[in-house]
Amino acid sequence: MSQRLFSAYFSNIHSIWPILYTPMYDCGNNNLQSDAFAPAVLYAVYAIAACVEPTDDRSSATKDKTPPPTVFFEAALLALQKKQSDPPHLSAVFHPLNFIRPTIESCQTLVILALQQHGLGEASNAAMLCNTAAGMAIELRLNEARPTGADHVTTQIASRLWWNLYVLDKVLACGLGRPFSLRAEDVTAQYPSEAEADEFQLLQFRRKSDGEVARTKSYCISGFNLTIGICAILEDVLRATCSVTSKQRICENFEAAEVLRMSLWSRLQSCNEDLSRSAVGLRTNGHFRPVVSPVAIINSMVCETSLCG
Amino acid sequence: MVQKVALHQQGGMVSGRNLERTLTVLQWLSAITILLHRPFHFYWRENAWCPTQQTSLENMPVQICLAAAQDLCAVLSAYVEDLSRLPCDVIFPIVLAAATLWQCRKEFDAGHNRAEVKSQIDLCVKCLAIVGKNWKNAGDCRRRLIRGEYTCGIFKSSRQVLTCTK
Repeated sequence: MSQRLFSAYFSNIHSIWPILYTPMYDCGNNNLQSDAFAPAVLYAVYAIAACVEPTDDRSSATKDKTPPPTVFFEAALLALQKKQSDPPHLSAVFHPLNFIRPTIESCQTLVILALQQHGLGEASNAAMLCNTAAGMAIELRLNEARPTGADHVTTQIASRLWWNLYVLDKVLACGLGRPFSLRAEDVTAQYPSEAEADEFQLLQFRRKSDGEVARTKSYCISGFNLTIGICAILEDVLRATCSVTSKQRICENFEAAEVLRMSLWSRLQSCNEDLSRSAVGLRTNGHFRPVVSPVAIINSMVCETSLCG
Repeated sequence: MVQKVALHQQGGMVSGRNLERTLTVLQWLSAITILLHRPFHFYWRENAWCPTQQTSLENMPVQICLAAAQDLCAVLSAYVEDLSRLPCDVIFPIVLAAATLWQCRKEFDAGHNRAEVKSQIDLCVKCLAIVGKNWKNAGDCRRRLIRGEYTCGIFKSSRQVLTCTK
């Protein structure tokens, strides 16, 4: 069961939401050390992975034996109240205040659980979990750049966590119709590292066209960094057109609002062009050539269509 | 659209997991485009305001929104089999595209291809059913669309023309 849930998490969730710094847990051959995870993080990973349908028959067999996502969700919330001490099983102290004690592991847990609750349509829970994580992240100063010479692993853990939270904050603002909490102008944190050792993840999948097994790099982090850039524009769009006071501002001065609209539109088009260019770059690697690059095809089409209206 | 599908077939559609990132980013780009322009369409109409000569027809909000929603549908159509692997953050762009298409269809005159737009709305509903196998929220959104409730929470906060229902 554990292996199925890990597989579901790192294939379906992590490739889009690289919240965790995987090199810390990877022990090769697609296996992960479950005992390297803090209990709350582990339950959160299981909680969201349990939502994902198995993609092969072998996994389908274990699906029936997997507890429902709510069991893991509640276990994660309970684990957050447990004092993080060493060794944890000898001094298992539960206290409600531990829930809001700011730690990296607690913040990671809350982000994963917020995403899970969003997927399950529990809007209020998702918003509250995300906002608690945001408060914790600020308290931990994850929004600030780490000094030069700081430990690389610590920096990457903080960076990944912060930027995933930043993106989730914007996604929830759209999906739930709530104001966003985190502002780009308050952030100096470094983007997650795209260095080979940090980004590398070899993925194996079966091609639908001919049933053959293909291998490719995931480009998880470089792709995620593109998402961060898009979310920075989204933040400005939300501020300009979707905030509570935006209608009043637009209607007070339509000419000025039109200038703003075209300016943001220009940034979006430019972002589209950047994406198109970088997509080709994402796929130039000497060791494992991607099978095909639909990114370039699709992006160029989207770009042309957008430019032509 | 035809050209897109043709290119899609030439491409072979056999990318790996990075495809999921691409799909997500493209869907969000379309969604942000709609978020940016859609309010202006309503505010201009509500206040009987017309842009001056600088704004060409293709830069009119409704045209950009329609193009973005249709772009998103083209991507959905091409990669429909891969949607079940995507996380829940793709739900919002799909619902937003459906709401935008529905609004455009309502406002179109007979000269527009209303049947094509209807089929694109149906595609959004189908895609939500696929994503809904993993994410309950998608199933809820699909049921709302089927009931004719083209709602988007984001528009409620800004007091735009909010809930479009049949």
